[in-house]
This record gives sequence, structure tokens and C-alpha cells, in this order.
Amino acid sequence: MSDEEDQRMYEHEPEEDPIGGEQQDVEPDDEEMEETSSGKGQAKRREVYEDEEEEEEEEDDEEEEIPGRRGHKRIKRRHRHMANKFVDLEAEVSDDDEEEEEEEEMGADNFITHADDGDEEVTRRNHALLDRNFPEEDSRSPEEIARAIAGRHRDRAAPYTGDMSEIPQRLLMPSVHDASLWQIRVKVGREREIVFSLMRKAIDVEYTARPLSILSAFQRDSLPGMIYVEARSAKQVQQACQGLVGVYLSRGIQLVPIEEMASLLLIKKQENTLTPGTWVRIRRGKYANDLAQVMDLTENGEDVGVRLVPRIDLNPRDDGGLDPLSKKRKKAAATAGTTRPPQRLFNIDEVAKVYGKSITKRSQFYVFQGETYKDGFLEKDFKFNALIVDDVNPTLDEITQFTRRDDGGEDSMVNLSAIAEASRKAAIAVLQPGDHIEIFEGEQAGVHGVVDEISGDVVTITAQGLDIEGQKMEMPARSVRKKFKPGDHVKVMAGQHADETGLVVSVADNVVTFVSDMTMQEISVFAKDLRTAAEVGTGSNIVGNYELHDLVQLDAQTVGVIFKTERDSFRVLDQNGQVRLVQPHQISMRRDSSRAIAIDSEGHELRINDNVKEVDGEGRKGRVLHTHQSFFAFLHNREIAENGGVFVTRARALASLAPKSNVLKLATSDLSKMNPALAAPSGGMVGSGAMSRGPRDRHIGLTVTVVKGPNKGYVGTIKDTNGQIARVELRTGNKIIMIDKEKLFRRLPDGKLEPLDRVNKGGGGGGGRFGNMGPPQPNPYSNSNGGSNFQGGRTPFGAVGRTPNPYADGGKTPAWNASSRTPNPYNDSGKTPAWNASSKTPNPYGDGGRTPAWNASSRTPNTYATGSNSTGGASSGWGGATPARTGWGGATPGRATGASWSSSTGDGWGSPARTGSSTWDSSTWSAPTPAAAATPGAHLGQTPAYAAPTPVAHQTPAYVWSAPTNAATPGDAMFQSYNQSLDKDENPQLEPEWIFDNILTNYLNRLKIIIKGTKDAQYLHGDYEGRTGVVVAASRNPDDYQQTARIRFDNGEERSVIAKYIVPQEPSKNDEEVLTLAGKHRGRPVVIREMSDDEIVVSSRQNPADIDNVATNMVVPLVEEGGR
Amino acid sequence: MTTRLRHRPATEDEDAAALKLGTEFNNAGCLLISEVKYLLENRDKDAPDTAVYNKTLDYVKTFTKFNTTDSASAVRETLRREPALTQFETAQIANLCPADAEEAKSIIPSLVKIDDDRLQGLLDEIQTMRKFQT
Amino acid sequence: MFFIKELTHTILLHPSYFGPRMLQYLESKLYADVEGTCSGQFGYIIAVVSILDIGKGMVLSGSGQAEFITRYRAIVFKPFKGEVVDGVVKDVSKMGFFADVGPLQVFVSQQLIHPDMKYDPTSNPPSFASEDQVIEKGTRIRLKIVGTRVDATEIFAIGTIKEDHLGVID
Repeated sequence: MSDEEDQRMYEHEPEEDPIGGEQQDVEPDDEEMEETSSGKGQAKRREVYEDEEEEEEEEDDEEEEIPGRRGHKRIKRRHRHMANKFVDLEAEVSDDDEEEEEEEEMGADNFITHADDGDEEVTRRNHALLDRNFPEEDSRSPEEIARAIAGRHRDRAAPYTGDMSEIPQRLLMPSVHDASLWQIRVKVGREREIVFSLMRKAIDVEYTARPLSILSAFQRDSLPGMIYVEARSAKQVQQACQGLVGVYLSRGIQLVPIEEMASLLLIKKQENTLTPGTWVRIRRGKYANDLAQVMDLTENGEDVGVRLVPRIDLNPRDDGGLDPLSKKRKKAAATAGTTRPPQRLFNIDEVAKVYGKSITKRSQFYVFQGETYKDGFLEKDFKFNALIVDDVNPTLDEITQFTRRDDGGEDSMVNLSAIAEASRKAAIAVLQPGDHIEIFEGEQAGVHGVVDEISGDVVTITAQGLDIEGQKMEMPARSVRKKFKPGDHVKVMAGQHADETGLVVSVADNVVTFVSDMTMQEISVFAKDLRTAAEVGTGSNIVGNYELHDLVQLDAQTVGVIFKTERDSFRVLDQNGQVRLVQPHQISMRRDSSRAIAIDSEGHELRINDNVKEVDGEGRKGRVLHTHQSFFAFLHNREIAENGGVFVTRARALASLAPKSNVLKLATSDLSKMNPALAAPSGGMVGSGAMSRGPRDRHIGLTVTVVKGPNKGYVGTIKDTNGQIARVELRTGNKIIMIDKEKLFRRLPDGKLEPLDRVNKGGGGGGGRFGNMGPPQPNPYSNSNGGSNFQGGRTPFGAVGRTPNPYADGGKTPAWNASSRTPNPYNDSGKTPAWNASSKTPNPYGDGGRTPAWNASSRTPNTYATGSNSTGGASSGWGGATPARTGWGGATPGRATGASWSSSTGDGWGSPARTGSSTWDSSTWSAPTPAAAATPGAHLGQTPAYAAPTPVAHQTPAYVWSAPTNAATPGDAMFQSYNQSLDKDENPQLEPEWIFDNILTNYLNRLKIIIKGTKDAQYLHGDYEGRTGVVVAASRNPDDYQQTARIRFDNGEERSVIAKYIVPQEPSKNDEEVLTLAGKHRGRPVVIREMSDDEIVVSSRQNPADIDNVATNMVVPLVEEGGR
Repeated sequence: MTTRLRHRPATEDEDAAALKLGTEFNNAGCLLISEVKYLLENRDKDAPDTAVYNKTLDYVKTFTKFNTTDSASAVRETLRREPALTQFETAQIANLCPADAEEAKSIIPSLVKIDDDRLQGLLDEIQTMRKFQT
Repeated sequence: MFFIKELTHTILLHPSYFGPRMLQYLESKLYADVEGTCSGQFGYIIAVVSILDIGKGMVLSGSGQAEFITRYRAIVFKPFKGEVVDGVVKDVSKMGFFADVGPLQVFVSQQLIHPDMKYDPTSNPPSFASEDQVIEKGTRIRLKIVGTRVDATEIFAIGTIKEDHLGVID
């Protein structure tokens, strides 16, 4: 290394070695102290020593030349040694000194000297050794001495090179007391020469009056345009550099900070691997990154003769006519601006055609435009700096260009094994345990096996084969190569094709050819770059979040399909057929086209994965990957080589290869058709999503008339609602307006108008309504007694009538509240628990917000299914009456008409219902039947709005309810009280099956109850009448069974009791914790604050101010928490 | 890396030449192409319209060697007489119908275990059946 | 090689399907789910021959769906390395040709075609031809599978005809 040389040169030159000097400072070494104690003396001694050494060299020479004189010389030498013992001793020490210097030289590599000498122990031992050796050495021949010295130095030097880093370097680091390092700008490229001239100058003036006072100078190849001079002051440097050509003193002399001094001298170990045959790349210029092969090197390694594949522009822009000079310039400009000409072997004929006679031929080669061409290659000298020596990684393609020669002759310098040789070092690195390898050289050539372990350059392999199966052997890593056989699935680990996977089709020595999984192209790579891929291709298909064949958005207008993934980029075919190379970050998003709709040329829907064919154009076939904007279709066909088989075409230009199959597929894959529940769509809306959607949409689809505002009189359909605002599509002008719902009236088929809200509150909207409210329980249908049909018909009405509250608005009118909070009337009027059973705890209806009505109807979808089955032809009618949608949205006119209704009833509702249905047939929807009249008139009076649509509902108790079920029910008394309570306008009643109320669930086993009413009914002989206890469990039984709850009586007995006999105990005292069944604290445990005759004042425990009045019979005392 | 290494011996290389079909198929029942054809054509259900199904149907129609179930089962019966034959080999012989023992052993290497003459006898019989099937 | 094999398939059924036609539905779902699919483990499932056991529906807590582990018998096709098969040439290019072996696509590289067979780009359709044999689209060919690439959903194979008794079937 030049640095090193320089260093060495200058180390001898200065009188005092700076580092050595420092060393002496820091090392309190006896002998060296002696030396340093007299600087002058040292110099003198050095001189002596040097002289002597010269002499010795001479002697050596002579000895070699004239062995005969040897003895004499030896005597003479010894004599001198004897005579000059002191000097000699010093010389020995000087030797030591020199050794230090040498070490410094070596140490300079890493800026480390023999710091170990700091170890006194070692030093002392060395000195002792030295002393002992003196007499011995005296008697030895100079050669022996020299050898011994060399050996000693070698021995001592060796450990240092090993673990330099462990030496306390800071002791050796320059300090402020040392001479500083100065950086000087010089002409680029002349650094080295300037350092040499500096050296010459120093030698020249050394013994003059004004010697240079600089200590050293050096230059670094890595830092062009600078040299460094070691000196005490900048002035000394300036002096030294004065008059040297190429030194830019004017640009200043900069002090190198102390901490940077060391790193400046740090030399990275660098192997100059350039030997003829090596592959290199050109760093810049026209041939930038082109592969070149080293032909020869100059001795200093500065200039490298390489040969490469020329890039001659065979289409120069101006066809001659210019003188060569300007042409050249032009050409240079042209090549710089445009793309560079392709690589092409020099062909005399081709070039002569274009450039005429500007080629001269000399024996073996051609000269053209100042360049030398031989065998088609360009041979050219490059500066070492202009070559990329590391990480050349020649690809097979590039190398084959060198092997391909005009004359087809064999080129001994280029063969594949030579390439392998070049990249052998890398090959070791890529071996991994488990790899299948083959030994290709040495004794064991031909053996193959599996790598067990790798340590350094040695691999341990388990051999496979007939004789040596299972044997382990150690091999140098460079003698083995990875082995693949056809059919192996491999993955490329490095190089241009990195991450490609494929199946090996052929193996020729080092070169493996495989068929890429993705492109179906054959790719040849070196075996070293491959490994068998356990993971199949997948890994390489995904970069970032994107995968092969994803449809990605490139910019607002452009989408594309990824057809090739590379290491960190994609090749994307956009909808215009352009291929783009994009990086993941350039993709704004991935698009999902699975729901995109496109139509093919035959009007069929085009779906992803359909196999289609172009009807025009090239008639390409392919599988639909994606469609875009209903217009573009991205297809894939493995057999098309370009763009990985992906191409884009117009959807309209496609025809399905099996159009029929699409229809078939549709039929078989339409799951909804297979679903029995969905087959009769009425009951299909089981999912909660549909449920929640129901109430929101309830006005949507209604035909309305605007009754106020500028659009008054217009008829339209509600498209959407948002709070009180509805979007109405007017029949006229096809316009959509936003309008307050207040201004809308529902338009009935017969042209009558009624308020929008009424429609929903009322039950008599029409036949559709009938269905949509839904019987709360399926049972009515399954009960096949005479009344069942009535029930079937009736129940919905019941529900309608009874559950107005869910329609939020209803909640606002007190009348509604009243009725809703007192559902009992219905129960009572019916006098039948069966009604309760089907209605499922009326109270929830009081909870307007929760709309259990929905639950009731939607929980029992099968009702409709069964209903429709039984009604046969009428099923469609029912089907249409989906509770979730049509019903809530408003009855469709068709169904609202008596005709359609009657048709369905005619089939489905059978004979027993005849009377009832005929009543309906005759469109007496609003005509109150006597029964209706009989039912609480209070209601009619209170809420006319309510009365109007509901008579039908009221009609039911009249002749349905009472008839079959009247007898057994014990609720007569309550019925009375109900009437009374009606008179009192409002008095909440406990319903017989209050115990099943959902709100009680959490408190069930704390409820204090008492058995009442068994005497009258002779239930269990009335034995339990008046007994108190708590509820153990209560859950609703199927309707056909009696509703019972399990009670633990106070005496510890546990048994089931019919629910209707279970009533809450009366609260006994203030501060008792109770659960209210009504009022605003409904369902919550509260504390009794005050009790009067029939009302108690309660408030929550946490917030005593939050009081409410509740009827006494609507509270259930609770056992104290944890009290049981 | 080490994990993969550990996995490697577990997945035995499949190689039909050595009758290594993997754990799932080493003992599975092999079907002759002719049998597949029969099964596919006599399905009581509608044919699924999948590319796989259609391609397979085309394939078995093209390469079926025995047109009737009778002849196919006769071939099976014949080959059953040779106990050393595995399911796979049986099916391969019936599917490929090699003309002579040498060819058979070349395309079904695992047949080396069977004596040439016996094998030839079987093959001849099969050829005859093929020729005279109705 | 075609096999008849017992396989299982797990079907998750939404509660809305519970009902009288559930079994029917399960069956059609099984057919739809498995037929025509390909897994690396079992190869191509070509057709379900029979359903052995539709399974007991186990309702999963949480979702309410029922899980049926269905056992069925199916015709499967799985190619093996080293297996000799017959196929029909589908596509010829200079790199080699593709052959269809039932549902499987096999690529035979020109490296694995006997050197006597030369690619003839001028012929229509493109073909590999030697003096007495021609490989073009539609040719029946006997080939040996040398390697398979088994993806989760696909199997791809490469084959050779560069051995005795392989090649064009007369």
C-alpha cells in the first residue's frame, strides 16, 4: 500500500520518530529512558547503528559472493563486536528500536504499536532474554543473528496482528503535546507525487542551514486532493510546501483535529484481488456498470487493461461529412444525452459500413476512434479507481457474452468454472446446513451429500450414495457446490432473479435452468444462488401488502394489475395496457373488484375467475382477474408469455367460454335459495341487522301526498328518512325533495289521506299490515283446533293493537302511555293465559325504545314459513308480507286491498275462520264490530286515533278469546279490577305472569312472593295459599304447558307453582328494597321511601332525590342482597 | 433455518418410482382411468361445472383403455393374481398398458421385483382383453 | 394417479339453515365446497362419490353456527414425481410444451425433450418435430413427471419425455 510505503519512508527520515518519541514518553522503560535522556546521543547512536548495518549488508553480500572469505570476515566482525561492545550493545538495543519502528509500520495499519511493551513484565523478560543472548549472539554468524532477530521480531509481531483491538490504544493516541497533522489541498491526482517531492526536498535540505522541520507527510488514496503533513506548526508546513507545484497553499492549511488523526491513518485491510481473468465492472462513463474482464495490470495496480463488449453507435445521428474531431464531440454529446448504444461485439463489416474507412487494422486488432478492438471486444485501459471490483456478481448472461466469440473458438480464459472461481468466496457464504451438495474436485469428486455443519471454510457433510451412505466427511467449502436435480423446486437467493422460484429442468455443472413459477420462463442461474424452496413461491409473490394479481390503484385515473413482483417493486399492467414499474409506496390502495359488475358481449354478468375469450381482436382466452369500472377486464392466461400472462381488454369484448355454466352456477351457489327460511322470504330476516333496520325504515316506500308547502298536492314515494326529514321522490317531474314528515300524509290506495304516523300506529292499514306485525308466537298456526285459525288471524291484530309503543311517536301521547303501560286489559279481557303466552310479557311494550314487538314478530319467522306452507297458494301473499320490511314500511297497496287479502284467506285461513274472514272481506276494516264496542270504551274515548284503526283488534277478544278459554281462568276478579282501573283512567295491574318479565331476570331469586288465588281454583287444594317464599327459577314454558315457576317457601320447601298464582308480597316497611314493575324505575331495585294505601314512593338507593310513585301492587320486595 | 432443517426429514420425498406416495396415499385405493370414467359418467347428481371436473372428464374419455366396467374389472382380476403388485402398480399397468415387460419396467420402475416372464404374461393378457373388449 | 379416498370437510352452518332441509343443504354445500378444488396434500378433488357421514352438527359457542365434520369419499387426482402419465399437448412454445393431464398442467421443457426433436417455429401450429414424430397441440404424449410444485391451491408439474418409452403415443 502506498500509504504504508510513504509512512515507512518518512519514518526514517525525520530525526526523531514522533510516535516512537511518544512511546518513549509513556513507557518508563529503563533502557529507552536512557536513550531519551540524551536526544543527541541517540541520534548519534542511530547513525552509528545505521552505518554498521550498511556494513553488515555489505558483508552479507560479500559472504554470499565469496564464501571462502567467510571465516576471515567473521573473525573481523566478531573482533569489532568485541572492541565495540558498548556500541554493539546499543546497536542491539537500537535493533530493538528498529523493531519498534517496524512494528510501528505494521502498527500504522491500525495505528497500534507494541503497546504490550507497556507490560513491564514482558519488557523485563525480554531484556533478560536479550542479556542472556548477548554472549551467544557474539558467537553466532551474522546470518544466524539476522535470522534470530527476524524470528524474534516475527514472534513478537504475531500476537499484535491477532487482537489489535484489545490493546489500550488510547495510550498511543496523539495528544496536544505531539506534533499536529495538517491538511493541505493539492492538485487532484498529484497527491502522491507531491508527497514524494516533499520527501526529496526534505532530503535535499536536510543538512543545509534551514532543514525542513516537518516530521512526516502522507497522502491517502481515499481522500483525493489532499495531503497531510505532520509538523509542530502551520508555518513549518508552509515552509516545506513552498515552491512545490500543485500545492494549493492559498486554500489554507487546515489542522486535523487530534481525534481524527488516528482515523486518518487507519488503513482498512484491502486485498488487491485483481488478477487477469477477474471480472470487474466499469464505474462510470459509457460503459457504466458493464461487465469487463481484466486482461493485464500495470505493476503498481493503477492501470488495468480490461476487455469488454463495446457499445458502438451504429446509427450516429449525422452520417459523416464532418471532420473526425467535431464528429467525435458530437457523438459524445449524443451518447450522453440519449440512450447509450446497445452492447454488441465489434464487427468490422458493420462498423465499416457506418463509419467508412476510419478503422485501421493492425495485425491482430482493429483501431477505431482511438480504441482498440480485438476479437470483437474492446480492449481498454482503465484506472483502478474507475473499476468496481467488489460485488461484481456477473450474471450468466453477461458472461456468456464473453464466451460467445466471433470465430466460435474456445476462450480458455472464460469458462464457467472460472466464474465460479471468481464467486467462490460468496459460494461459501451461501451454503447452509441441509443443502444438498456435490463435491466437484479433489479425491472425493462426484460424491454428493447433505451439509451438516459449516465452520469457516470447512463443511461437514453426510455423504449419500451407494458405498459411503451416511459417512461424514469434512471438505473445504470451495470444493463443494450445491446440487440440484431436475424437478427440484428452487428459489433464487441472490442476483437479478432473486426471489424467483421454479422447478429445475436441467442442471449443467454450475448452471441450473429452471422454469419460473410466475412467468413460465426458463431462467438459468448459478447453483450457488439457489436453494431448494420449502416455501412454495408464495413468499416472492407478496411485497408489502400487495400480492401478485392484485388490482391496485396507481393514481386517481389509473388502476393496474400486478403481474410480476420483484424484490421490492412490482410490474403493473394498467388499464391502458401500459406496463409500469412501481414501488409499493406508489400504490395508493388495493382495490377489491370482487363485487364489481361488468357485462360481457352476450349480456352475461362477468365475474371474477370466469373463463372468457375475446370475441374480437386476438381472440385471447383467459381467466378474469379483475374488472374495472365495468369496462376493463384484466385477464390472465398462463400461456401468454408477455406480462406474466396478464392482459387487459374491454369487458364488452369478452364472451364467456361457458355461458350456460354461469346460470347453473348461479342456481347452485345461491345459498338463499337453499335456505328453507329464506325460501319463504317472510321469515328470512332473522339476522339482527335486519331487525335493527326495520324501525328506521318504517316510512320508506310509502306513497304520500304533500299537504303543505310549495309542493302541496304532489304525490310521491318516501325514499329515505332522516329524523323528521324525509326524502320524497315526486311522481311528477321525477324529482326528489327533502321535506318535513309533518307535511306528508299517507296516501291510501283509494286516494284517502291520513297522517303518516297514524299509519304505523294503526293496525288496520291493510292486509300487509296483518302479516307484518307478525304473530308473536308460532303456535297459533300449529294449534290445529278450531280456533287456531282465528288465533292466527287474530294474534297479529292483538299485537298490533297492543304494541303501539314501539312506534316511538306513540310514546308521546299520554293516552298511549296509559294503554301501553297497562297491557293487562288485554290479558284480562282475554282471560286466558294463552294470550299472555303468545304475547310474551306485555310490559316490554311499555318500553317503547326497545321495541320488543320486533322481537316478538321476528323471533318467530318460521311461523310464516309454516303458514305459507299450509296456505298453499297464498304463500306468496304472505311471503310478501315480510315483517321486517313491507310491514313496517307500510303495506303495499295491493295487499291492502280486500281482494288480495281475501284471496289468501280463502285458501289459507280455512273454514272456521270464515266468519271472521268474511268480515274482513267485506272491507269492514274500520267498522267497529260489536265486540270492539264491547271492549273498553275508554280507549275509544281517550284516543280516537287509536280507536280508528284498531277495532279489528278489539274485535278479537270478543269472539275469539272468550270462547275457548274463558272458563278456567281465575282472573275474573282482576278483570273487574281492570274495568275499575279503566274507570280510574289508569291503574297499573300486575299481569298473571309478571314473574317471567325479562326485567326480573337478574333479581329472580331475590323476589319475595306469596301464593294467592289457589283457594278459588282449588289448585293443590289451596294448601299453599298465603305461603310466602322466594323464587328459585322461572322460565317460560312452551305455550301448551302451564307456566310455572320454582319457588322456595320460607319453610325451606321447594316446588313448582303455576305462575299465575304467584304474586309479589306486599311491601312492608319503609326503606325496604323493592323492584318496581312500572314507572320510571321499572326493573330496577329501589328503596321505599314512603307508603300510602295504594301507592308507594320509591327512589333509587344511590339517588334519593330521584323519586317516583308506583302502585303498591307493582312492586316486588326483594330479599336483602346475599341474605338468602 | 434450524426449524426447517428439523422438518426436512419428516417430509419424505415422494417418488412414484420407489412407490413412495406420501403418508396420505401410500395405502389409498387407486382407480383406473376407465373406472374414473365410469364413475364420472354415472353420477347420480348433476355434473359439477368446474374446470377440474370437465378437464378430467375429457382426459378420462381420451385415455380410457377399457370401455366397459366388465373389462376394467376383468383387468383388475387379472392383475390381482400377481400378489406382489401394489394398487399403484396395478393402476399404472392398466392405465398405460405397456406392450412388453421391458417397457413396463421402464415406465413403472418398481416392477423390477417381478419376473419378466410373469409380467409379460400379465401384459399379454391385458392386451388381449383390450383388443377384444366389446 | 386417480385415487378413491375418504376425506373430511368441515362445514359451518349458520343457524338460519337449521331446519328440515338442512341435510339437503349440507350435501349441496359439500359438493360445492370440495369438488374441483385442489390441495397440495390430496391433489385435485374431482368428484364426490358418496357421503359417508354428514356429521353431527356441533353448535359452536359464540357464533351459534353449527360445525359439521363431514366424511365423504371422493375421486382425487394427485400427480407424483416419477410417475408416468399420458397427456394431451396443449400448447407448444420454443421453451417446451404444456400438456394437460386431466386437471393437471405439466410443462415439458425443451431441455427435457430428446434433442432430436427440434422446435419448428415456422410450422403452424408450432411444433417440436423430429424425422418421424411431431409434437403439436393435440398430440397425445406419454411423459414422466419429474417434479411437482405443490401450492395451497394448485399443483404444477414439469415432465420429461427424454427417456425410453416416453414421447408421442401412436
